[in-house]
Amino acid sequence: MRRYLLVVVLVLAAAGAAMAQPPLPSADAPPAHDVPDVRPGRSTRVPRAWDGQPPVVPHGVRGLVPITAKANACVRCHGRKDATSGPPPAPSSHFVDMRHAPGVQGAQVTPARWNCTACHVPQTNAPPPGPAVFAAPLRR
Amino acid sequence: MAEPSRRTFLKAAAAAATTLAAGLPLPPALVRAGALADVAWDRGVCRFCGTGCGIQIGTRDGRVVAVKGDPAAPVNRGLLCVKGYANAQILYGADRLTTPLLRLVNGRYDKAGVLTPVSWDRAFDEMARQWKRAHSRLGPTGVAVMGSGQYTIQEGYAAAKLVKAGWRSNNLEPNARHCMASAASAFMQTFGIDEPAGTYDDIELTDTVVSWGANMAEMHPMLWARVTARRLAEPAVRIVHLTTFTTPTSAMADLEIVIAPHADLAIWNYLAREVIARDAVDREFVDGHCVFAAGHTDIGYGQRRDERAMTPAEAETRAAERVHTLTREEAVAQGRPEAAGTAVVQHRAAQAADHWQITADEFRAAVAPYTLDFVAPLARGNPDEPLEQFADKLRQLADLYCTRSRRIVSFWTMGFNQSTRGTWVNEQAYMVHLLTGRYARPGNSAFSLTGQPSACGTAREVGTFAHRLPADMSVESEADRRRAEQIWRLPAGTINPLPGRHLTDMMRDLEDGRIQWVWVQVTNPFQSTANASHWSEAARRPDAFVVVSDVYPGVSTGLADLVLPSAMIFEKWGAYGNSERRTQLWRQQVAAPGDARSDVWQILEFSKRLTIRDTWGAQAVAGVAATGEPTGHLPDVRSGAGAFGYRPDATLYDVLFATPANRAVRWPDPVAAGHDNDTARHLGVTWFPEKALFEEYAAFGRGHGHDLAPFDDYFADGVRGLRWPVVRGQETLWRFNVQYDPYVTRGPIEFYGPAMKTLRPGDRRGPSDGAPQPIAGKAKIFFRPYAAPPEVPDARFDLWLSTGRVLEHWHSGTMTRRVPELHKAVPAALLYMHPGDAAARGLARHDAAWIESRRGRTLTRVETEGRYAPPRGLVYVPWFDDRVLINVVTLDAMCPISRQTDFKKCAVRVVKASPPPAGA
Repeated sequence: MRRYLLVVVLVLAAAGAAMAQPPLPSADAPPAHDVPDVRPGRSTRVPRAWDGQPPVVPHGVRGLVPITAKANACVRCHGRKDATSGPPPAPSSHFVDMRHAPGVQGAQVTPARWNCTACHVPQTNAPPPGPAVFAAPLRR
Repeated sequence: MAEPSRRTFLKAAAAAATTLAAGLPLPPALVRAGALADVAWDRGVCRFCGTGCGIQIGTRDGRVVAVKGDPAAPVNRGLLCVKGYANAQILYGADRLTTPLLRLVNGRYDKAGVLTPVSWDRAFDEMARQWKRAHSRLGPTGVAVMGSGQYTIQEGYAAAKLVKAGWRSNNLEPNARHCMASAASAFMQTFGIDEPAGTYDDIELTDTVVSWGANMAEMHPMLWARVTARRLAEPAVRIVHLTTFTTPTSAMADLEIVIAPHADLAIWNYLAREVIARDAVDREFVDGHCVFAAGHTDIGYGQRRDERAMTPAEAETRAAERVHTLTREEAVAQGRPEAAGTAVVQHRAAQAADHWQITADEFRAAVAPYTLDFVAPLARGNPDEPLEQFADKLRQLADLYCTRSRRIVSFWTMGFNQSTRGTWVNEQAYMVHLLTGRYARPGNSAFSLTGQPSACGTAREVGTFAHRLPADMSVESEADRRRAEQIWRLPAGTINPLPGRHLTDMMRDLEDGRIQWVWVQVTNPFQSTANASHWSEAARRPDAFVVVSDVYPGVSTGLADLVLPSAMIFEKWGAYGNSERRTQLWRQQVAAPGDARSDVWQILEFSKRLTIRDTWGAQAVAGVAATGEPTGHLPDVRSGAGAFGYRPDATLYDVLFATPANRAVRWPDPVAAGHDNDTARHLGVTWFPEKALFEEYAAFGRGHGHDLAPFDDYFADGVRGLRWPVVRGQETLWRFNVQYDPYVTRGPIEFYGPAMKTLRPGDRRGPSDGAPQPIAGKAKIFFRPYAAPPEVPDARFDLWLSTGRVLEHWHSGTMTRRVPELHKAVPAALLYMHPGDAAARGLARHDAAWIESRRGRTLTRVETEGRYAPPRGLVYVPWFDDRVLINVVTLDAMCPISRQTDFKKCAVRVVKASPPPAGA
């Protein structure tokens, strides 16, 4: 017997539930999604949601990652200190080695910030999270 | 139970989410760019992983409005990962739980009812009524608390005291059982004391970093930033990553070694063999500070004790629990007299932790079979890599460990810990580091990383495990129980001498009706426990009462009978302890929304509903007679209670929490510097619960190698956490080393941990009749053999499945999936597989596919690109996504010593999902 256990499903519960009812869950896979293949330079900057938030990556990263000890495509474009044109440069904070020489402006992006995608993440074309995100069919 | 009625129940279960999860997570009301004026900043610690990054929390008008890395924090020096930056946003999802919810039909509790808003009084009344029902029927072992490595220290301590002292049940377990129990077992067996000798400082002092199965670039990103910085600054530094599939950590490695699942056990022994053969042993270190040891081999895999609740397909894998068919590799690796193919009875499951001393010669003979020729074919993880090339990589790895001048830090985490031989492989890391003298010395470390922010601070140090008491003490030791009873001012004999059920067994007991009341706090166990279909059914048994304290709706709240809304991290005072023994405290920054309350408040309030009459009389507990208790019951200790001045009808709150000593810790307190304490406010007390609990807890460790500083010291200017033991105001950077550790009395190195420090003699096969000998001050170099996993791919289930996390999401995703930027970065858990494996199954990138095992199946989309590149034969699915419940598929086999589940290995098949009908 194949059993479907509907667990956190947003379904019409027993009588008395007065909320507007979301649809029954489907047995579909999550929607397909991808990071759009927008080339750097052709993208539009995404505003920060709050002051201090690391900007998200507004362009595609195919061929630009992974970052290795020898190759860092992010730094190649964004690591030009104080650039006034072209790709937005990393802020001055990114040129300070806070562990070994705090307060000293270096010429290059500091090694501790080398793994750019630890903070700056590309965005897929997935729809924003909604109630259906938390509908979960348990199957066995 | 008939199908229709179960479905009714389960639809009803949905009401938890239905009533509240009505809206989109709105953009949190954070400060827009350029508007940071009037923001008040205070220190905090990140809510997420075990790294323990220091943060600065910005608040304005009663809301957290910004977060930044704390430049003064030694852990991260002002840096944060993308998840760390989400510490503010996680508070403000639109569907925060803000009121208790109880299943009601016509105003009365009914298992089949709808989760309906109720008052806290109504919630606690029902909770206590149900507790008494389960307790009167089943005794102290019929009730349980599932806690967390994300508990604050005070929450874990309050839960431990309530369960162990108040209820006399040891049924308290953290989700950390799934996370680092193997690490803890290995520390105790090897060193007699838990937690690492070294600290993160070793990263800046070493010249070699070897990551064993740890994808640190995603799971400990700010530690990996330190490793990366070290590598880029010093060209001689080498990074090696051993892994079963290519990850972002591989990208920074000078050498990536893709190994077969479970092959780590063989590789360590190859390294040990090479260290001996190439004369790289540090003889002074080994002779002066170590002994050799071995244990049983045929210890099973920790699966269910019987097959009654299993399907026939599940029972196939469980067959190995009784009899395992010796593989060709095992016959060699274990030096067995039996031939490959022999059925080996797993007769040592009950003595899995036993071990004894062996000679150095016996040790050398035991590792002798682990030649490169033997290990390389067994360990190669990528079938498309030429064997000679792979063997050469292992040789390079051995070159590093055998170069005596090289300083090495070996890191690991879930790759080792989540293994059916998790304790063994942890011990093997110490084996090689001890043999080469690379332990407890600056720049040399075998370092067990933890996944959770307070897996060390709370789960391990407080001891929220079924067998533990604070400061590494054990409920099984009479001396430890007496000491705890003394500190806790309890009558002698109050604490139950039998360990409780470990976390997975709690689920099994719930399914079997042996546990009928469970309180879940700060965790989502119905999503995170392997073989999850069973446990969702268990929660809905008519005799089960499931309470879930949480902050957002999720799988576990959906299965609950009572949902309690909790305060989140900066809505309460708290303390976490990270991987490097650093204890960090924070102040409450903002109020929790609605009627959400701190977990400390919940524990203390609930303890008012029970009296010592309920729990301190004689209690029937199966097995207690065997501990020497002549009545076969936990003794009636009520007569002894009077000596402490406790009234016969005293509540557990009176005797455990509102003690004279605690009430003397006054609130308000200058250390608050204007910050609130809603726990005290809602309790209506003028004492400071979080400070009182912290200080009472600290009494266990002070003078016992676990010294914490006074509460207020952690808030001093310039202090950003302190690494214990903190003695005379000084933290300890390298334990066991006389230059750094005040507990060392006989230098230069002394492994002073007190546990398991007498050993019988024996050889690889077993102990002999000789008298146990003391080994005080020494660490154990274990021989642990290669052993095959209980379930391996075969013709029907032909792929390995590994599960884990991703950078952007925390655990089961209830917090991070509500952060728009994190959700958009990784919207769903995908099935990462090799393009060739996909093509062979008619699958292309983004196709929908089922992942099926003997236990269940789940549906998601195929990904053949991106950040993970599995070799042919292995697939990877993260577990954060409650639409892709991969733990329905995983196997609940575990390390029989640590009782930690192996989430990294089971056999699955991948089947293309039929497209939905046209027009659908």
